[in-house]
Amino acid sequence: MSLIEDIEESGWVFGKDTIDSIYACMQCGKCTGSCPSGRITGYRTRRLMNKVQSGDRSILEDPDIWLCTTCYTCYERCPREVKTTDVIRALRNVAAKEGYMSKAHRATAMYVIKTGHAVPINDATKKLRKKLGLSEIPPTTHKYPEALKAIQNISKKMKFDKLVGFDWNTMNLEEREEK
Amino acid sequence: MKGLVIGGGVAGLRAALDIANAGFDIYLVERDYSIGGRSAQITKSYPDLTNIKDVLKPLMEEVYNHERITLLTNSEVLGLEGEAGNFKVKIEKKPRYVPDGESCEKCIEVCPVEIPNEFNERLDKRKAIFVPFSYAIPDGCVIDETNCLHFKDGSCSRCKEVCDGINFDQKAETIEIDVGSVVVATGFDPFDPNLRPELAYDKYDGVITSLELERILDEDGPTGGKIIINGKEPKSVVFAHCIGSRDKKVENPYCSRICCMYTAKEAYMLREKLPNAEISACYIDMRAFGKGCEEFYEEVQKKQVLYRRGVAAEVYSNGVNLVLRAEDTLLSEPYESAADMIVLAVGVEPKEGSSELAENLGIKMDEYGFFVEKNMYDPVETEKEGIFLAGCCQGPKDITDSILQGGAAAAKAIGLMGRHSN
Repeated sequence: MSLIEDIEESGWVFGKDTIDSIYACMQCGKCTGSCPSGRITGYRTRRLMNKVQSGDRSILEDPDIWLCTTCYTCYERCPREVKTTDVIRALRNVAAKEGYMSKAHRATAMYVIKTGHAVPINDATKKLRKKLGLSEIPPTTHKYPEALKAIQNISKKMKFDKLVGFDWNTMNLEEREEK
Repeated sequence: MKGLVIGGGVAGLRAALDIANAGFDIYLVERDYSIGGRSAQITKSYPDLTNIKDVLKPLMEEVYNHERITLLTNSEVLGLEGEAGNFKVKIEKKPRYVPDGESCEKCIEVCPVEIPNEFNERLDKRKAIFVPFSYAIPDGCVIDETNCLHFKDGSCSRCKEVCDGINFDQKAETIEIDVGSVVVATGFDPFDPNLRPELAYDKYDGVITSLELERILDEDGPTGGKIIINGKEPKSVVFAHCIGSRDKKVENPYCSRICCMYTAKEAYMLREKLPNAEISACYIDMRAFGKGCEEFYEEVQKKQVLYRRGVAAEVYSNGVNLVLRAEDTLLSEPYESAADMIVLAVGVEPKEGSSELAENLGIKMDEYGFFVEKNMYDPVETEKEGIFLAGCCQGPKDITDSILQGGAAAAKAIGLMGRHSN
């Protein structure tokens, strides 16, 4: 399958418009010039779009694709309305399936499986919630452990645990050779 | 049989003259106080660097003095009925309140109102009684009644005290004329760069539009042709191409056709005035398709204007300079250019009021608001027989192409009126 077909399959949730928009890129560089991540990292949005357009699979193993913060600035500004950020997210789905996933993103996934939250609650958040007149514990998996069970079941059924390399014995990430 | 031309820019002037020279009487209706149109704001043409004034002024005078042309400035078309060869057109003719040619300008000195001068792209002020521009036709002063205190609250008549000719009692009149054909040549408006807020046009005085730079470059302009930004001569200038063109986000996905070359021309003129400044341009693609344009582009490059591929991403201030951030797409690296002046090459948009005119005339507009030609093989005709299009009201084009289309529309109008006269 071509890279674009892979993206279409793994990124179906973003819709066909997102995939079709890839072809509309005119390589103007508005995205790269606007990218806050690109100010401090080697992440280059336009180059990524170019590689996707030309079906260059080497992009899947490029660690830079994980440096997008999904701030959507490029998406907002793109003069051809390429759905850049969503393309990147769909591309990450393909990369993850092929075993390329940044450690930081795997850790985030680990927290989701372990706690139901990408960012579990901490003392500072509890304090802030209290100050705002909210219950200390939010009505999420933190309050309803049975909901966490459901999330963990979904993770197993969707093989999300395998995808990110979650070890149910240690409740932590498996040691994995970073590709 | 008489004809009508709506719009007194280069396309309309050319059309009116050609029809009149073929022996038909012509009404030329202009909404503004003077004929001349957008071209009058431009200093030089590309790629030959002709002074526009040297070409435009004689054309305007020829129209004004032509015995077969009736000029109706400060006038608008309100409605049209009938069919080709026999249209009835209703026109509102608004008063100037000052007799034509009255230009001692004492009235201007005493007028207490100061408002931004539209002709100079709001870079300086004008009075409520004013001369539209140095070679305006009809010449002399006019009163802009929306800003004049006499019309606001009756509190002022200082101009009348120094000029007997002024007559506040003049009233707008609606006239009805019979014409056989209509040429529509209503021109364009520049894109409003505030719709791209990341370019900070509204935020910094050093960020200007290309049309503002035209006024700054003009010896008759607000700075007398001196390049002054924030009180001093800029040491570095960046031109930003494609602002409001090729941009679906602002609903202008089309290319405005003129910006690549007017930017090259402005960069050339700027280099002549600022021999030591750093001048660069960020562009997506160069479209130098006109006769002599690619050669001119090379000439501009040789004047050490640095062209960097990649559109302007954003503009901010670091407290000392403006900074334009973009990607150099050939190097695949973002960069930042410090600049004292950033010139936004704004695109071409349909003239304000186009939809009302389309409705009044019964012609179609495209999704952007440009008037629609009959088809690509009848590029000056509309679906409504007897109504023709010329210039930027049909789509973006440069001065030469506008004149060309004005001539073509005139030929069609002459043919139609000839057929109906026999």
